[in-house]
Amino acid sequence: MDSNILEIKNLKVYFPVKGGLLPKAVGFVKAVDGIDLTIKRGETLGLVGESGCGKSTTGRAILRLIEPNEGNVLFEGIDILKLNKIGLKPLRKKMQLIFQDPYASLNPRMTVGDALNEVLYVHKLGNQNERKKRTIELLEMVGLTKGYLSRYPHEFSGGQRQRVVIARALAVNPKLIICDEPVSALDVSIQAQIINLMEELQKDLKLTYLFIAHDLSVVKHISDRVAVMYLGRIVEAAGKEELFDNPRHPYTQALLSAIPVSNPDSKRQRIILEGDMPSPVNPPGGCRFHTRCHRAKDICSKSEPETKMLGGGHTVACHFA
Amino acid sequence: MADNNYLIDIQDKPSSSFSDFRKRLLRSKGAVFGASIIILLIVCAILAPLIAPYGYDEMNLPEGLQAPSQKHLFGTDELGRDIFSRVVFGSRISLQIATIAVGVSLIIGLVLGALAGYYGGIVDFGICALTDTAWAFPMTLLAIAFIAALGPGLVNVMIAVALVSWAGYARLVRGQFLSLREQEFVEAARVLGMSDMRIIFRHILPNSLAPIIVLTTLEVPKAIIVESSLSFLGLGAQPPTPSWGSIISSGRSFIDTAPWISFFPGLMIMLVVLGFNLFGDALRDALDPRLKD
Repeated sequence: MDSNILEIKNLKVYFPVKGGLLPKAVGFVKAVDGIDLTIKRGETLGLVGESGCGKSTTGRAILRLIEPNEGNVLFEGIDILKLNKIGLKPLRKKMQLIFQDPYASLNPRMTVGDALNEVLYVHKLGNQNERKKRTIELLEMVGLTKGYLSRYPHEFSGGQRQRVVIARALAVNPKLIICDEPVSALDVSIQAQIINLMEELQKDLKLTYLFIAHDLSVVKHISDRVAVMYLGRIVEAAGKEELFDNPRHPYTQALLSAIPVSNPDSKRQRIILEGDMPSPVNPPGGCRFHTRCHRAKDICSKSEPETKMLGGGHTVACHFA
Repeated sequence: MADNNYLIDIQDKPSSSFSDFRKRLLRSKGAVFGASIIILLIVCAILAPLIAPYGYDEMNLPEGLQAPSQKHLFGTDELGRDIFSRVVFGSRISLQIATIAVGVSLIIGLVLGALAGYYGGIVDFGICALTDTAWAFPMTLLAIAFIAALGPGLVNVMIAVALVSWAGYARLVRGQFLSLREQEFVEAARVLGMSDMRIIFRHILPNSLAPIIVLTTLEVPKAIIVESSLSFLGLGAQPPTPSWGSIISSGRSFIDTAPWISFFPGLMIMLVVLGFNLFGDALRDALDPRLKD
């Protein structure tokens, strides 16, 4: 079997900007502008970048929650973007999503038991008794007990809710889980619990994760490989060790220099990025990062850097790397 | 499987959000008063033949135009019919309007609003144009226009009331759906492969019920007023059917000599409308989670 579970080729997601008296598109927000990404079976790929760089949009486009404008998303060799609604349903069992905000991702009018049971019912997984048994099993998998079944989400803390969300995603036995900042809304102590739970589940159930986050420490902990996104493009991707030890793109270097260190005496060079990210409606020509790059030269504003292969799976899109 | 050492246990217990809600509702005097009137109306309508001392069309010419007395609690009209009995039977008409006409308009508004809010785009554009047009007319005027086309009669009044009052529901439901469909739990349902119908009825609708219930309790009195107005104009219930509006109308010629004919049904309309409004307001407050203490 192919070792790549997911291959993304030249994915583009544009949102129309409506304006004028009669709503018509006057421009496009190029949220995701031609990215290539592959995820290997069983690995965790971290996708990092600042707010608005398109990382969540990428995750949603893979699941067709947002319709991409262009590109291919191959899941086990099948192009997801070419499927219709009926063809998509079996794939829903293989790919799942864990959300950022556990307070918004559970239906407030449904008990935990009903929410889990519904998923099994929709996919016709077992009869009533089997489903009941399975919901309890799912709760235990994420460290909860059957006492939760008859309760509503508002009775839980954020961490407990996130466990329920994970249980719901696991109900269909997915192979790939897209985690959209799954811990950024939680307390630090709870974050660790959820991350550990996710790692255990990955080991036990042989899951593949696409882990979207802006917290580099969390990404460093959980990922096997890391891709860095800036303004709708992947600027650098490499194995975790390689990327954190030997970042080649100036943006990655700036991000890594911003990770807080526990030792106050440690001497390190911080690279402070100036200004905000440019508008994705009118991204700068040439290298998209040149407006904020400390190493920018003339060439950067004129020609767009090719993505270079540096060996060992390390890719980078910079003229000077 | 995850390590079972750290299972977070919890006691099995049913949720108490409904009893919270009931407590908050009963704390409000308006709600209790409003609910009592509504219950009284329902009891009157169901038990009308037992409560009314006379038939609603039982004439007794020698006893015509009598003032309220022990024998005739609300007096009699020019044909000697007992006003109390007519008012009691009239509650049936009002209740029919309240349930059937408001129910039909609720269904129309719910379906159109849900389609517009969930699917958006061209569907939304078309439904909104229709809704705004319906909304632009004064309710009673539009109802008169419908009656003019359909002809007078109680059934046609119900159709007319339903056709003029759905727009409020459509707008409310559309707004609810617009905001809820972007919620993550709806996205989750889509990722989990659920059908649009399941998402609409199991995920979005239950979460938009509170404002719909409130609007319904506030739409009922409006519908009763429109029905009374139409009956007053002779377009609704036809004689001898005792609608409150038509009783007021028939008392108009005797307003100097026998004001009780018009006064009591008028009082009933006022009380029932007040009851529904008070109850609706209290319901809105009790359902608003921000006011939780």
